Amino acid sequence: MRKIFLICILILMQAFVSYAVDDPLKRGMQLYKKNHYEEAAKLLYHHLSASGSKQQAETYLSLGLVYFANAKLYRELYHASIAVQIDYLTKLYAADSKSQSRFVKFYLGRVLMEAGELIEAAAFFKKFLEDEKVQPQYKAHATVHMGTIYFLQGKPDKARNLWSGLKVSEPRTLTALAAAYGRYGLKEKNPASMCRQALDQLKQTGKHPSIDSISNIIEVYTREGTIEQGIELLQHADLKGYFQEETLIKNKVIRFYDSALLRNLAMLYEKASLKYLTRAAAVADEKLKGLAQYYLSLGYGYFGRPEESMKIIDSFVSSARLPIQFQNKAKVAQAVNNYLLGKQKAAKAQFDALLQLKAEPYLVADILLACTRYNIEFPQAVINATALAQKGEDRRYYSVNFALGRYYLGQKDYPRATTYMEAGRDKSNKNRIEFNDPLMLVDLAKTYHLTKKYSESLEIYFEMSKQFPAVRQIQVAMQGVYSMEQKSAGDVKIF
Amino acid sequence: MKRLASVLLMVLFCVFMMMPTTAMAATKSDGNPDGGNLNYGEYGRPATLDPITSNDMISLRITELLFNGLVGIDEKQEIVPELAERWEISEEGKVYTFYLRQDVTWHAREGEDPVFFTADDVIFTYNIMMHPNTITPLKVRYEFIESVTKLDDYAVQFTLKRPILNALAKFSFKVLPKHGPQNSEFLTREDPFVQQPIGTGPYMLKNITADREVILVANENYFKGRPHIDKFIARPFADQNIMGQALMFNAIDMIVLVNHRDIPQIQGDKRFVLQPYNALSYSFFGFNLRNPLLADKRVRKAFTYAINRQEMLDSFFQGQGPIISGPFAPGSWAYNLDVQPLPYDPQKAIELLTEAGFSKGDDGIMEKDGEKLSLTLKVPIAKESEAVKRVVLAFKNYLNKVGVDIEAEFIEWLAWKEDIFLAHEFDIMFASWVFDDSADISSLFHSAEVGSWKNNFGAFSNPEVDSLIVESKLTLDHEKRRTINRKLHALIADENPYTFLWTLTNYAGYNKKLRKVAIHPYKFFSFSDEWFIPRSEQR
Repeated sequence: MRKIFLICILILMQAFVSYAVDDPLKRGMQLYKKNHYEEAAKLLYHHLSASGSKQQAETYLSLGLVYFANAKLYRELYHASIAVQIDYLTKLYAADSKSQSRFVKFYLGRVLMEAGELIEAAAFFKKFLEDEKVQPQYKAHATVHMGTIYFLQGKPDKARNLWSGLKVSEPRTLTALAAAYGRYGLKEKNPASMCRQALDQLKQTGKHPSIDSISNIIEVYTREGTIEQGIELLQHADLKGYFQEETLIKNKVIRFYDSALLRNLAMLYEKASLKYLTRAAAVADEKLKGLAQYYLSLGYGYFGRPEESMKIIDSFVSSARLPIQFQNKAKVAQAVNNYLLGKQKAAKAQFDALLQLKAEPYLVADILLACTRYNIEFPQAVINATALAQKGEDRRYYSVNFALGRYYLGQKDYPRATTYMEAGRDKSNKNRIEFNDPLMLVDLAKTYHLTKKYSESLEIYFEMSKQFPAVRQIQVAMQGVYSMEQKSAGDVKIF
Repeated sequence: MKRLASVLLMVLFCVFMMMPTTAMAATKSDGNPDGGNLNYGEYGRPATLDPITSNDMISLRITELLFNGLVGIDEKQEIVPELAERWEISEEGKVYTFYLRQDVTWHAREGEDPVFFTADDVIFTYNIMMHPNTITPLKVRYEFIESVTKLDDYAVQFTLKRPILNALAKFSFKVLPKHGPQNSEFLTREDPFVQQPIGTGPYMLKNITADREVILVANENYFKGRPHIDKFIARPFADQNIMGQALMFNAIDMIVLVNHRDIPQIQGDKRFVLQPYNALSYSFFGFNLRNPLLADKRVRKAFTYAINRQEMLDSFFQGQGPIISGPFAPGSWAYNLDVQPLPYDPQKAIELLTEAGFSKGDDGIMEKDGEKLSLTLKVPIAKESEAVKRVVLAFKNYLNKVGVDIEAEFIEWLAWKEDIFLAHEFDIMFASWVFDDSADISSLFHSAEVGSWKNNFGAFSNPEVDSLIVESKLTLDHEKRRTINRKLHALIADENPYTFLWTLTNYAGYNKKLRKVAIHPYKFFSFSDEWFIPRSEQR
């Protein structure tokens, strides 16, 4: 996968060769190559308005690629965050303390809702709503989420009644309600104008929108397709900010975060990726157009739109002009599309045929990653990947080690998951995203969380947060789990 | 008569059952072979081999092989029985009763019969540890204990002054034999026991060679079953570069801390495994606040502004790890993520020094009231890798640019420890701390921890820090403790008793012939009795 991207970058670099070294487009792709997606996206986005028509097309393509990578990463971070938040908040809720947090119920309800545990989530919101000391604006906020649960439980009328009864003007709740209306396509209110109302209100009082308002507004903008508005909003947002700070007694302050932020960022970047790739695919330059269409087909496939992917991908599968790696990657995507479209037999036959080809690590890894992602039973991919991984730990085999690590993480075989991912890790730079695929690092951090090696996990996120500040929510929750779980004697030694 | 006989038989049976069973040479039932030797490379020799007087990692690793605690902590972070086979905790969390194993013997000294481990040893250990004349950094950690009582030969009861968080884990302290130390009241580094210890652990000290190699042999009577590997040999290397080569040429089987320069070479070699194991350490330059020039916070902060830590990290350690801002490692639960490291700003450094009353003399060196800002920097020779030499040189050059004169001195490890921890003869020192999971900095920064062989070597004292440390120890609330630690981080970062540097990648490297290797993230050898070498690879 990474190799393919690097080839793409090389092609793009060649295309940009006529531009100066400090050309933003070139710098953007260099940042992308270092996995600095946030920086790359910011640079390229600003470059869009300044660049001429030729560069604009290339910028679309570059932005599409950067957002594609960012969307995949945030999706993984979102899942990692849910697991850590549930772990932390459950322990926090269970902790016997004289100064018990009130908001733990609210945030536990939120994250359980994200995890699809609706009955449990509703129970926590109910407890929060029953608490007489909770201020009305927070109750209104919790009511919005209760409505969401009703919706998810297939009781839309109940949700509608609940929401229509709310008299909301406070920006945080207003945007939460807007996001809820937008999410379920309800027409009785206009989510975008609700967001505008909230932003105007804040502007009048000279306040910045809180991080949860930003998260909600992004959701609304993304669903409405006003991607640029979402991106603009993010330019000045502090993504490491907490959603709520609760001071309970002297020297006891708890900060709460919400995984939904990561979900909304993933969704925004996914849409942004498809939008910019589509724009790039519409240009006259055949080379750029082809490349954009290629990635667009992969993007559609990856983001669960196999029909759209299939419309484009066939031409790449047999294209003699494409390097073999590109062709093979397209074949894997085609097989996955077939599987998702209900043609399981055809998909497996395609995977089988691909495994008959020369055993290239990237190809076997691609197949195994795809099978793991969609829970496709295909043991031969594991066998082939294992055989390749036994050949060594150098960079050539990185991809199979990662794929096997992810496979075993999915199987809950954590020791094996760790062994493979560690084998694929660049140990000279073990936590740096410039040297390791951030997706692999997130998986490794997840594994270390599950095996209670919190410090290893925290180290990964510490490094990652420098580029992706929204990771802070995972760090803080994991620190909380670690502080409660650690069992040690209080030792320290010099060396 | 028949009835009497049966009663007698029953009494005899009961007596037999109550007698401690003589430890048998037991093998493990995991089916893995015994045999083979493990030579491992260390970056120095241990100061002492007992768990009470030592405060360095080299000693810690050896004591982990020699001794046991009442409880242990397994790979899943669960507290498991060790010398205590079970325990009871009173409802209010103040009374801990431990029921001890009856099949544990102390390593036998030559010509002596094995002696059974009993409750007396536990009480002896506690008493000797807490004796005012015993020099140990452990004391501060066990002040929460009010008293210890022997209930019978195989049961002891600890009463705490107050319930504390995570108390059970603290009973993992290593137990010493009552018949071990020469002085039965307190333990000093002069006691022969600290160099010739006996324990209950999986390995026994055989001898220390003229080359200062520490040779440990398998304890045939180990209560968890004989460890698989016959011999552990700790080999000290003054030069870390040579240690890497020794591994590559099979002269040793394991390096406990791989030199960063060697990581790519070892990773690329199929014969070896690299395993990360401890993220909770950091390097620093520590200041001696007894020196009036360094007692001024502005001067200490100026030093931190004056040096470009990121450049040093990138140039000498290939950027392997983050710059840190305070007294915890980034992998710790206590790290305050809001506190950012001070930036490199030599102009700000000069401003601070000027504000503190210094001005540049004719030779370019800052001076105040006629006294030059000329300071000594002491670095242990065990740290004398090429990279550390460069760090020290760079530190000297950076400070020179703002008018501070540094004289760097590399000293042998034990002599360095005496200068820093006993005589306090230094201005600045370079070292690293390694923490277990607790993030307990009380011994490092509490003012009560200033003194001979105590960890607050720089005599840092701040009433607010003291008060927060005490509050942190008293609380039973995890979140409160977290908040306090965040505050401590911010406060100590501002006080700047150290120039905090970085956390580096810690990897153990070992030959693949070693199997079932699980490494404790802090104590390293905790699970080593399970390690084995296949017969075909024993040599």
